Amino acid sequence: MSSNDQLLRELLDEGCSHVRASRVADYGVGPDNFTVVASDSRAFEFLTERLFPASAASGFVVYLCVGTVPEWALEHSGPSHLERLHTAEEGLIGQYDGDHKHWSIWDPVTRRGLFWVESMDLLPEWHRAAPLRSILQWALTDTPYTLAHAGGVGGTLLVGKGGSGKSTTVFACARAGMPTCGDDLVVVGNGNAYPLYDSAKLRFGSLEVAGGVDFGDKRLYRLSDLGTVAAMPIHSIAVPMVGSESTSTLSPCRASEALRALAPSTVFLLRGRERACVEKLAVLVRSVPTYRLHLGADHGVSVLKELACRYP
Amino acid sequence: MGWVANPAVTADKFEGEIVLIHVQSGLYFSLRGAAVSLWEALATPVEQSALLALFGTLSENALKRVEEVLALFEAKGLVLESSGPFSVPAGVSFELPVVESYDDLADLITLDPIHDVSAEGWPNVVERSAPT
Repeated sequence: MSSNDQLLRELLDEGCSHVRASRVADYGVGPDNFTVVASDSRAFEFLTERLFPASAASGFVVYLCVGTVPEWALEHSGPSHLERLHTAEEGLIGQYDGDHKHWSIWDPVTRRGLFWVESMDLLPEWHRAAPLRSILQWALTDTPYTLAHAGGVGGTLLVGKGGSGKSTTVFACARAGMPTCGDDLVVVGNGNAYPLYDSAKLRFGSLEVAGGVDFGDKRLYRLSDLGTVAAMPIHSIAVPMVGSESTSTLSPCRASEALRALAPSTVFLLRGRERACVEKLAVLVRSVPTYRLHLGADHGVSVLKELACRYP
Repeated sequence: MGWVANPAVTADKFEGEIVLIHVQSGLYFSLRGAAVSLWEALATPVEQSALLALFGTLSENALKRVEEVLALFEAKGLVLESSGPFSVPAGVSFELPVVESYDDLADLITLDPIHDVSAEGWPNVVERSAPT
């Protein structure tokens, strides 16, 4: 084990040792569950309010630690922000955000994750909407599952970079009674998509939806307020494209086009373990029909409902 | 001199097309035709001369296209220099190479995640005024 690896392991051990188990609860990540352990109530509330509770036994543990964090003291592993990501032997992995002073660390051997923040006042608001995402992604590495930058509605996975129309489509379809599993980040694997966060964001001016709270240039809603939230078999993948027609249409596209829409934006968002993630996403896009979704004024509702009916 | 595929680049093949993702640069690529054959030959270290001979005797224009693909592979960090030992790939037929580069996410990958992203988190960019 290198000195960097040793340093990361010591950080993990030290951070976990600071946490007294005064707040403990189980949550879902795909078909698996995990336990969050915290002694700081504010951190616990902030970082779990958008997770989906689970009742079954836990697969791994994430410790939430609040207190003075050790600065990044490892060798830089690459340019730009990758320099604060360290992958150690035996799968140990850690990432440090120096300005907001927090670490995310995952150890696959002991199946422990650690989120260690110096002060909750320093934590950006997006952690409330999508908490612990790096740790959860790393924890799924050795499973058939992965987080995916995608929305899911009625069995169709909507893939594409930000601004491609995923969220608007999910909101419109959910309002029309279709089940959804997320508008931006979902868990996929073994042919299924699973909800991850009870969050959904909509850019101002795209659709009129009551409720929610301001979130930058978007409104943040609870996914569960939109309608039925459910895991779903994925029967199709669609790449939304904003159009100007009144009615949305579908046209077949190559699986490679779907992978280009799905994999880069996923692995650029979720650093570390990129190869395992892309392999799982490639298996997925090969397994189902892939389409371009030319979005019209109806936001894809009719055509996605029709598609769902083909795969009851 | 020889090259080998950069192990940090992910590659997935679909019916005659390979999708490459270079996580460090934020670039991704679609390869078709002879570009696919070249990439597959680079799975193990291979000399440049062997790559140029991969398709047998080529017209001047076709050879130029192959050289352009190899130059792009090198310029974009998709391949690394290698000192061998080198393998000699089996010959394949030539199809016009196509390489499509996508940089629409590259700006995001090179963002400083602390100073350049909004409160919503990466990849949402902070709106800045133009410098005066």
